[in-house]
Amino acid sequence: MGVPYMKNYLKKNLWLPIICVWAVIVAVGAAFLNSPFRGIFIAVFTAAAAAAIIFIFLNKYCVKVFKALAPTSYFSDLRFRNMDAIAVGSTIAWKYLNIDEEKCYDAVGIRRSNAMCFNMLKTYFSHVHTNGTVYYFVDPLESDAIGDYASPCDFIHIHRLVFLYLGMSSPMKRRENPMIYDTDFSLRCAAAYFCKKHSLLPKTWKLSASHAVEISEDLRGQLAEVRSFCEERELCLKLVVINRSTENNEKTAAKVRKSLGWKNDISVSAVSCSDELNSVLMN
Amino acid sequence: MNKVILSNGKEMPQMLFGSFQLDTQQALGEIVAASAENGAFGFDTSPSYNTEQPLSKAINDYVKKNSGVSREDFFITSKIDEWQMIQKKGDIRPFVAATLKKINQPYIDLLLIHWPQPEYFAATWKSFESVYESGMAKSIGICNARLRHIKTLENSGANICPMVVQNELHPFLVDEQLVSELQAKGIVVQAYSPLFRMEPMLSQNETLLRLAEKYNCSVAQVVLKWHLERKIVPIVKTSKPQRVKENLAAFNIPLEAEDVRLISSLDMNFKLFLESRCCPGY
Repeated sequence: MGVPYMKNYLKKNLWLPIICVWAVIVAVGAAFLNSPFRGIFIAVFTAAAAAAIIFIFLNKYCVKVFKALAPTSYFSDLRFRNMDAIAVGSTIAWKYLNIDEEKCYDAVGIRRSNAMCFNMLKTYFSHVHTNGTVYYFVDPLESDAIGDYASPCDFIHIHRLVFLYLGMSSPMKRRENPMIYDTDFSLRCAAAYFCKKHSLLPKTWKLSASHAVEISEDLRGQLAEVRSFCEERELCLKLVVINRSTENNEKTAAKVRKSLGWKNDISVSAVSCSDELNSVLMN
Repeated sequence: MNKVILSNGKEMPQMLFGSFQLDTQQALGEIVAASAENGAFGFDTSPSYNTEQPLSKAINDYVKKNSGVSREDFFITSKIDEWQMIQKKGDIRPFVAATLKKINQPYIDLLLIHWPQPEYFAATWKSFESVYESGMAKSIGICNARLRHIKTLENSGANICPMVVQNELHPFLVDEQLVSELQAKGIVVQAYSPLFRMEPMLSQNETLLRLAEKYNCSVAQVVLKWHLERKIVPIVKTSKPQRVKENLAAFNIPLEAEDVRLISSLDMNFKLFLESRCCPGY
């Protein structure tokens, strides 16, 4: 017993503190019903009720979004066997790729670390037949922003066994109440999802002279692991770098290849707009 | 019941009965009794099926009730799950000891690594070797293994080669090359989901229906005999005691070599269990 126990109990039973807070608000409101401040309290109460309704609605929408983004349950159906390819990548790939689900297994997702992209590959590669293709989309800029290792934004994608590797507890509560546990990220995900669903995204990403593609030491190490992972499992790796610089794609791809120390046996390409990105999958 | 000889000289029944999703004591008791009465004494369980204890109890109860039968007549296969490998970083011996205590058995006939979890696979096999040497498991092996997993063991300096590999195999997933390479190494291959869960894709397959008509038996029996002809040990799961006898009757079907090839030609590398989804990085 004690404070940690109570905290833990309340975290696990979120409905209890929520009901308590509402009970206090209602009680205070009722106490002031006949006072001169009645108008203020009614206004505050109404605003709080409206905020709660919006909050619940957003929470529900975020749950829907995360269910759509995160892996589905085991063996829910017998589709997606012996597929020709799998696509793995983060935000840009998720926003701009139009994946033909008959040919390519869709394992791209919104805003996640490279470590999580690799975990997605580890989790879904069995959907692809031997000698199938792995399209691995890397955005060095996002990689710099999120970091190459597991980050909090990976939680929505995480597989329960991966959680076990990381020594973390169940992500279920986070998934059930994303607006409480991760408000900012949930709202951003929901907004991006809404925009993608309703074709509100711009046709291409922004190019800038200041965004020269650089492969960090950590990313280089991870990509080497991805390569040996694919080779061991007889998968054909195709690395696609999201080019956000004004430098041309050939030059960028050559730079990345040199930086990785890879020879021509592995395909490395760079893309700087939606059409180029999708043409990689078609080839 | 015919038996196969493992590379360590131990015998294993040529057909085993699975306990996945048979988690009630009554259901397991009925299956154990029906199998034993028909001369089949091999069973498969796992910590994740939640059937280790009830299966063992059903076996112990059967032995108590039937004086002519002893524990030695039975063949119990159990497994070490991925979470156990992760939790103990491969040193799974405490789990085996705890399991033996829990199921009230002096040993497990065959202990398998359920999923070759990449990080702790080699370390777990080291523990398996010591479990085998201590006699807690009479034989050891791996489930869901490819040749690269066997190579990993060889490269990690393993002293004992797996005696058994248990993989998903059925007419739509024949894995001819893997099976023959494993058999060439002296490894006995077991098949889980040997009947493709009797999904309509198999139960209504025209070739199999035609063969069932030809041999005057069921599709399941034809498929089981096909496994047996390939020297594969099928692990059949049924919740109906009457099916036990029907499955065992597959031994008597005179399936011709040509028909064995015909069934093998149905192969489409179709997996019910996508390995990487069960064991990321598999």
